[in-house]
Amino acid sequence: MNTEAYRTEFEEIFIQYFPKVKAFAAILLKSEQEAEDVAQDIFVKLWEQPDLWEGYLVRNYLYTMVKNHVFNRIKRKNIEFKYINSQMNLHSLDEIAEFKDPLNEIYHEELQLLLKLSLEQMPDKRRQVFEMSRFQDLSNHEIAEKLNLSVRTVEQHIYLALKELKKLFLIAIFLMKF
Amino acid sequence: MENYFNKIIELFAKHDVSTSSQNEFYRWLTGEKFSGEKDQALRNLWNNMADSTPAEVSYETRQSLNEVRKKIRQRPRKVNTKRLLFWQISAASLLIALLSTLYFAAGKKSANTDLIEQYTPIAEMTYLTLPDGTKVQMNSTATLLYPEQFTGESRSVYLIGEANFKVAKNKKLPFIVKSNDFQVTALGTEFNMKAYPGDPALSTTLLSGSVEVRFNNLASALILKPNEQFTYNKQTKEETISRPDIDEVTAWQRGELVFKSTTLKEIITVLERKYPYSFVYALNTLKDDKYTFRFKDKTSLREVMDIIAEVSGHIKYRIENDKCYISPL
Repeated sequence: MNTEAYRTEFEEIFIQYFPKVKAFAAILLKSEQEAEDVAQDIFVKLWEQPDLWEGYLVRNYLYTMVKNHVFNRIKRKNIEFKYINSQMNLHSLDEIAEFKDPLNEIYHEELQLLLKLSLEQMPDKRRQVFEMSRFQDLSNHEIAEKLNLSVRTVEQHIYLALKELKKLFLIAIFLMKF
Repeated sequence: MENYFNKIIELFAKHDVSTSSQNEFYRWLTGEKFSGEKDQALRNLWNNMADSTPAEVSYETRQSLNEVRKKIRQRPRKVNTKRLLFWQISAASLLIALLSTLYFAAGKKSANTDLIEQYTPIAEMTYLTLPDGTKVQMNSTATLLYPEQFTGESRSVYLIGEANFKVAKNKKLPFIVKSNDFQVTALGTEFNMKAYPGDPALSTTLLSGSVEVRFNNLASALILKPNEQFTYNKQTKEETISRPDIDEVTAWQRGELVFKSTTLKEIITVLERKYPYSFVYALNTLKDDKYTFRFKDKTSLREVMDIIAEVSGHIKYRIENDKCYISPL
């Protein structure tokens, strides 16, 4: 392979995979700029590894590279990882999962994270009411007083929040079993 | 259960999340527990994203290509074109050989599930057992490619970086570790192999048993005796055999850092693998003086740098966030 062919082949691979590598990094890093840096670094390295340009291998290799780069960046962020709000206990998870599943204990951490991420997608008020009710153990009356809402509205918020969460968790559990 | 992992990644991918959730997610994602399941979920995300075709190349992608081209030009050229050509052919044939042993011998099984890559991030070590029972300890930033199951005439794996292999005995199936510039064949034995792409020299050290080392595009071969170290210089294409202090060769496996008459630049290359910091310095800050250091397991970067700064007498350092700045005293 001469230099020209070498360059052409690299460009073909670049065009095919660069957007994907960048998009994948952006999803995880939540930053276009960081994703661009990661993707460029990976392709500069790939230039020097022509033995990895093979079709199936390059796809696999790029996945590994982008995962590693992203993980390294995450670790370099020196995030002080705090444990998930301990008030989110198994009890509230059981309520949502509707039945006690021994697997829920094994995947406790996953369920908690799933709960946290799902809660964030809810309207603010609904989330706030749900958290006060389930994590701070306040009664519906107390919540109504604090937020200046009617008890009925508080009940409605909790009902909707539970409904939404159950739906999500049921999907997760349903697909898991079959 | 797999679905919990997919669902978490899907939720994170699709939505804006708070900083605190983002951090929780990162802690979870990089955590050791269920790393296989998490990897599979990430891989699903990756596989569900489409490749691009030349017809849809965006302006941004062109822009990125130009920047990457610029960065490639700015890199020091390590090999001239003619050698590159030669090396490519050998690497390609090596890879075809590797691929055919890894996949095609496996029969009709889908190639998708065949090859596993194990990567060790910065500042970590990985212990793993291969399908044949061979035990591998991988140093920071090393990558190992191996098949889900060994089939065919040999057990072949591909290493980028450094690792120690305790090969499970099987006289009928030789165990082969390949890297870009050389390969090591063993039957039942323990050896250390170091092949980081950034290092000028590659080496393998035999701890017990016997191994055959092939290099120079697999054209040359020699057999190592226990405690012998084979070193191959990628640039000069020269090989040497020495009898190093085995304790020093295996120091990394115990988390120790050992440098023997090593320049500061070489020391920093190793520190960058071992600690999650990047080093910032002007090249002329580091003189070519050589140093010998030995640090115990779990020595912090600060302790290491304190001693290096003290001994060298001509540099000072400052750690800020994830960077370590080195400047003349």
